Amino acid sequence: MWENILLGLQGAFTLENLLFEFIGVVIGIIFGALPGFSATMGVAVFVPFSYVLEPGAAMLLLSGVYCGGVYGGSIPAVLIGIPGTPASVPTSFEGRALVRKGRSGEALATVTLASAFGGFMSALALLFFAPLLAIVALKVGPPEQVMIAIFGLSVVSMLSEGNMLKGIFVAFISLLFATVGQDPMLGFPRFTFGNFMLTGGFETVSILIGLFSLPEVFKMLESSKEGQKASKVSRMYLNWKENFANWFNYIRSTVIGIVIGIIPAAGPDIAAFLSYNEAKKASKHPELYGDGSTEGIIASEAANNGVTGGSLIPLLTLSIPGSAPAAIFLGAMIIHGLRPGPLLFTQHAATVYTLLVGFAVVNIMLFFVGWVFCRFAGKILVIPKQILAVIIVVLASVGSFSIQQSMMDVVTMYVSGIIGYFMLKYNYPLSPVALALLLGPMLEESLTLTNTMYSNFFMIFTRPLTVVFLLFIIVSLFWPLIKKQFKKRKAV
Amino acid sequence: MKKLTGNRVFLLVSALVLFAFSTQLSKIPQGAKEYPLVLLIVSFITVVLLFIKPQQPEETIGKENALRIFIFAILTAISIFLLTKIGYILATLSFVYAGLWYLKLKKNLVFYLFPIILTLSMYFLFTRVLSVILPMGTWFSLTL
Repeated sequence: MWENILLGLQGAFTLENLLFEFIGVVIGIIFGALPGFSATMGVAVFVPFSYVLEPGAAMLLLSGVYCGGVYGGSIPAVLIGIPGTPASVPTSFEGRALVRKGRSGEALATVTLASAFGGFMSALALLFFAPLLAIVALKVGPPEQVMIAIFGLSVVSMLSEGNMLKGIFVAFISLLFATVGQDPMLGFPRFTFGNFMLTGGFETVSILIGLFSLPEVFKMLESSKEGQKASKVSRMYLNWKENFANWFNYIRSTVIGIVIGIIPAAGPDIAAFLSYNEAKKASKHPELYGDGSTEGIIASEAANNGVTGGSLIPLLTLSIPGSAPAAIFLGAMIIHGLRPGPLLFTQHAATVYTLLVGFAVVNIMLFFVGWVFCRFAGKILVIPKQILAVIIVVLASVGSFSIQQSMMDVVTMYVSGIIGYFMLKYNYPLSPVALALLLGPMLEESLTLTNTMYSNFFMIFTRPLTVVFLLFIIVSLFWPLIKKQFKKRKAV
Repeated sequence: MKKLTGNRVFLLVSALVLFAFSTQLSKIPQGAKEYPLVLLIVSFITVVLLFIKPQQPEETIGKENALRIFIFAILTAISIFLLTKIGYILATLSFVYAGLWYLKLKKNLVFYLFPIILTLSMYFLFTRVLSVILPMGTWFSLTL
């Protein structure tokens, strides 16, 4: 393992890769910081840019965009009071209050340190846990893969709580769309409606670009009002004493972030809220929450950035993305010939360890780039939304065209964007689409192989890992009911 | 009679898509159709359940804002159509100008220069750095 880490150090510290890590972080921070934009959109739009790069450099560029995007969302949360991403909502409660007290620089400095800490620790977790999980993943055969895919989709349904039926509907219809094109066993073209261009199926990355970019543009246009003015940034200043006193808060929040990241489709927003609530419960001064509590900022930021590395652990080992950007990451990896799974760590050790070590480097860079960016953030946040809207449409169109140099992909992107807008409008979750499109082919192939292996399907439960995943599935499906019961008992 | 909300219209359209998929099933041989058949059935059932379920109140954005989104979506569709007709440079340049004009960006230096800078920087980035051949027009084309 240490040999591989040395290999990763070599890869991550080449001049070219450091440059891509830096570019990724800058782009990510800008995407996260602009209201209406998000880390997911950034990763989606920049996947096509990574095609011409070496796989390692491509993954580092996207890692930079991902981590930078999650962090960047907190800058407008502090300066405007409008979070750039949902994960920054708790930060906005405290950040805005600190701005009112004339301590915007201190708020941004704390955001930057907590984000870099959370991200860096999650990168270490990724570096040490992913290879360990990969050893367990070696025992995963087609029956376990079936259960893993079902588990991933069931968690998505659980997370669409209140909209569980909508989550199930989106997951199933997306799985159906994933069957368009040749079937994995007979090679027969399905649901092509006589159009030969559909024989290869829909281009997943085009769908994801459309789904995570155009709806945000349309939402931006729902109001004709210009955005709010950003507050002036006071001197960037870190209160070290206060930060050291919060060492346990840092660790607890990062662990929450990493664990939430590992759970499929549970993104940084859930981690930030959960960690913020835990910090408030554990705080000696809960009355300060909402009035500019540094503790609250640390909890929210360390957790939402902790998700970044956590979400890549199941992705690299089991092909299950832990968040929406991680799902797009999976699409990019497949395009670069890196099929996630246990063999990835042996067949592509140099590339994977470059990514794992580079992920930590990205988070160190995040601190310094973020610190400088915050000083100029006030100027960047005032870019008119008309300009942002056309930039995204152009990036999405050209980006989806460049995947296979096909207009079909651009049309797919556009139609997905329109559908995505209506899905957002009527409260249909978007994450199951990414998960179902990426897991669909694996699920069908594994099901077919399992049927060949066992004449009686229930015999798969003689394998211990399938039973473990079955238990996970049952818990995830019944989680909303269990939670309800807990709440009832608590109330009594 | 159930009230036809926006969500129900969305579900009806989804049901139509599912129906279109189901018409293709007969052409698929055994061994390749069982899995999509199960997905189709579950999708249909969830559509029906969501349709008959009491509807949540829907947020309205007003006719003016809806029209703005609609026209911007049409402008985007036209620019995609024109990509293969007049090529990337002219299609993008005209889309960006039209978009900024329609969304009422102040007519200052940014309004006139930004579309040219965006179009050309993307063009050079993709063609020279990323080696992607961007669409050329069939009616006429401009390449640099």
